[in-house]
Amino acid sequence: MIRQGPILSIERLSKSYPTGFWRKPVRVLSDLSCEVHANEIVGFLGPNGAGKTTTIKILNRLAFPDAGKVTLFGGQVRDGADVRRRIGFMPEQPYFYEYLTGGEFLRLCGQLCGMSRADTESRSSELLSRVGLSGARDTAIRKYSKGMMQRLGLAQALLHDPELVILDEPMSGLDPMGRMEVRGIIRDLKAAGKTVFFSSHILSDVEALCDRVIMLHKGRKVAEGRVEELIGAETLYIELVVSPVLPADRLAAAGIPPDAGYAQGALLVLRAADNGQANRWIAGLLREGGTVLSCVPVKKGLEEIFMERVGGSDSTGATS
Amino acid sequence: MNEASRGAWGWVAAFALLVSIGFSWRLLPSRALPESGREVRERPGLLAAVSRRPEFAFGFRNVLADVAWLEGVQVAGNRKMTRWDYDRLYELLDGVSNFDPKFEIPYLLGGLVLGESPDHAQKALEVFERGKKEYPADWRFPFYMGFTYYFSLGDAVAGGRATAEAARLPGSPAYLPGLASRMLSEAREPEVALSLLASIVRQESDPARRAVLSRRIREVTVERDLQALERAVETYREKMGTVPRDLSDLVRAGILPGIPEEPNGGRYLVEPGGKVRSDRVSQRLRVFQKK
Amino acid sequence: MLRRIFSIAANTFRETIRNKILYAILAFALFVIGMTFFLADLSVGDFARIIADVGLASIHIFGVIMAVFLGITLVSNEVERKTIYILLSKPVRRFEFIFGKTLGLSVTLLLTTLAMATVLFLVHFSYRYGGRAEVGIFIASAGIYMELVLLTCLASLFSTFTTPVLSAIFTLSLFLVGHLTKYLYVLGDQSKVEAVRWASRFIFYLLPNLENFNWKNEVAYGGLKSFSILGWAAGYLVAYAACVLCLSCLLFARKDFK
Repeated sequence: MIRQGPILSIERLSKSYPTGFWRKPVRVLSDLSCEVHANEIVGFLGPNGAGKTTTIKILNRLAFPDAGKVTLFGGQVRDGADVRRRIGFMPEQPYFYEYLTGGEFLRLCGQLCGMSRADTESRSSELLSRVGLSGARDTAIRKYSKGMMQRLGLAQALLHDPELVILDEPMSGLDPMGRMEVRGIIRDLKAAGKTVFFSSHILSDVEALCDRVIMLHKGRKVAEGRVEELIGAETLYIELVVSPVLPADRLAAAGIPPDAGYAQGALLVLRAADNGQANRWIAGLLREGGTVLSCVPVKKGLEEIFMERVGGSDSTGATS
Repeated sequence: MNEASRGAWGWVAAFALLVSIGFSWRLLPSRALPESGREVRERPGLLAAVSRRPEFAFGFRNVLADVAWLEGVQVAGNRKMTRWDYDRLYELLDGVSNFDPKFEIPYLLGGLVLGESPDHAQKALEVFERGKKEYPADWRFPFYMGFTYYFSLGDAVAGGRATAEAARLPGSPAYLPGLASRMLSEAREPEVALSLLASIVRQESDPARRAVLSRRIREVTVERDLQALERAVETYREKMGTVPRDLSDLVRAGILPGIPEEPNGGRYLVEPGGKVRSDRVSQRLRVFQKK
Repeated sequence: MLRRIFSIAANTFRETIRNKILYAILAFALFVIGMTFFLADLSVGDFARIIADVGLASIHIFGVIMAVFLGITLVSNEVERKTIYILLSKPVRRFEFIFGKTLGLSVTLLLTTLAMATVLFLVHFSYRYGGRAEVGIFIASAGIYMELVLLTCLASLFSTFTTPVLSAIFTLSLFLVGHLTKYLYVLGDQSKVEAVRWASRFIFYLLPNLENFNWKNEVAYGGLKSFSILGWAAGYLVAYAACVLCLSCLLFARKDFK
């Protein structure tokens, strides 16, 4: 569903938590503004304690901001039961009533979302098999493993077929298989026209999935943008893999300084600063009888961008 | 939920509290309050039952004694005590001394209040007797017993003896021997009672106990005044051949210098038959009625 | 709205009914009530009365323990285990959560009170000296139940803003004070100062008056003059509980979950 304007807009959000009766409150969010548009996958990135969970709690009205405004679905609907019905939420490390079975829990969620019994039943069977919990439907949640809890958390968030899905650390606590499955589910949601907003401190997940990234550090936004824009065209260096490992005198003859690379087993890895240097090196290497196995330009990853921004933000504040 | 609807919860809460006050107010008369004079005898409570087996109080004997005593103070504090109130008071005092025999004040004050009722004077003596057993060196027990014998039971001999016993105990005031001898020799008269009560009040520092004693003093004062007024009415009748229509007639006839003040703040009235009564006190102290 | 409240109530009922500690308390209570059968033999006369007295007292005490124990964990457990995150992110308003939780626990308490009263009724009925079918046991138990519901509401009020231990202390204090409020009224009335009298009346009406639900005496001695008292007491319960619940909602409405 494509709509005008953002599905979720956060304006100048600030929040502090009291730490004790006498001590100063701790600022967890300062002046955060961002937007999520329809049918996007937006990653909310930041180290632990950056304010991701607090923001997500504010979005779900589990906490209330000191200042700022959250507008959902363009503000057409007053925040209340109607808006909630269009949002699915999975908290970080979700816990459930352990005296219930997975099926009973989803039935309760369905009732709370105002779904009919038949709807709830068919949706929950579908989702349980999608997250790989079909066999655990009638098992008490008490006996669930951490990964199963995570999967059930995803199922309950999607049960009422929400337009906007908010996931707090959806991959944490999952094995590699599980992570692949969750990535698949998130991609399917986008394909079905839904919008996904998820937080993570694992950069590779975000890089692999997201259309757009919002980076948070110490309660401030340090970067926001489309993944390919952020990663950008800027090339860090060009990596050449050469075989065999040429001795130092032949490298020198090829015009390559001795500190330009290192040997890795039977291969030689070289880092050229730019395309021109790479071309010169390749010509020299071929001359000296080497074989160039690969030549890859290495671009900036989110990790580097994040480190760069955070380094600057500590003194000068957020820039984007 | 925005600020306005939050405020709504406060208003609804306040409204619900008001409604609950209405219900609570409606229920108030149906819940027996210790103050209201009760016609129906209250059954012996669980407290009294437990007091007969004090070990069932587990570690809370003193607290239960306090509870029984506080309840007793409530009963004794009623402005108009009925027979049942005196019975209940005795039961509670019994409970107190079962739970905590060393609890001294209930013996003294409770006994004094019980002694007000001629029907309960014997029970008052029992209470004092138990106290005396716990505190044999305390002169107040035999002294209060003497008081009760003398004024509530009209037994001047026993009263005098008990007072004499009190006079022999250490710390007793110097006037006790004199009182004892007066009791042994005199007929019971309100004046003697008043001077005794005044001496007891002087010993008391606690306002609650002083209040009980002052009530007693007022009762005796009323009785003394009533007796004096009735004597004057009799004189008036002998002189004029008729009963005065109003007590001020007695002053006009020169029989009394003035009408005494009613100590409870009421007025003395003369009835057509020549009886005088106070508009505040319904019952006369039988003890002082000459037989 | 009602559907969601009932769903939460049903879930709370299921939670408490699957709570092993509840069963332990209930089993012990039933054991004590059963023991009154033998306790009565120790008495001299009035055997059945001892059964009714001790039995009703046991229902009362164990009921209060259950109500406080379950009531204080009502909200705090959900917050602690973060299950409330999922509940409140659904289209559930916070007052629906409070109402539902309290309603569910009230149903649990209704069942346990009924179980205890039934056992007491049977013990009383089957006692060999002077045993009879005493309907009063159920009437007095109904009063106890009303008190338990009020205590549950108070416990949930406290658990919206403080720790379970403090909630338990507050609730138990109010339980004790709630049975003594009439003294406050009477003592205050004896004061000569007008302001003291009004203040004592104000506090009297402000505090829960649990004696309103105490019909043990009246029932056991046939003194319950009319059943209208039950109606008035029920009205008091509804109004006062509504007040307490609205306060809970007020406090809960802006609570941050960390």
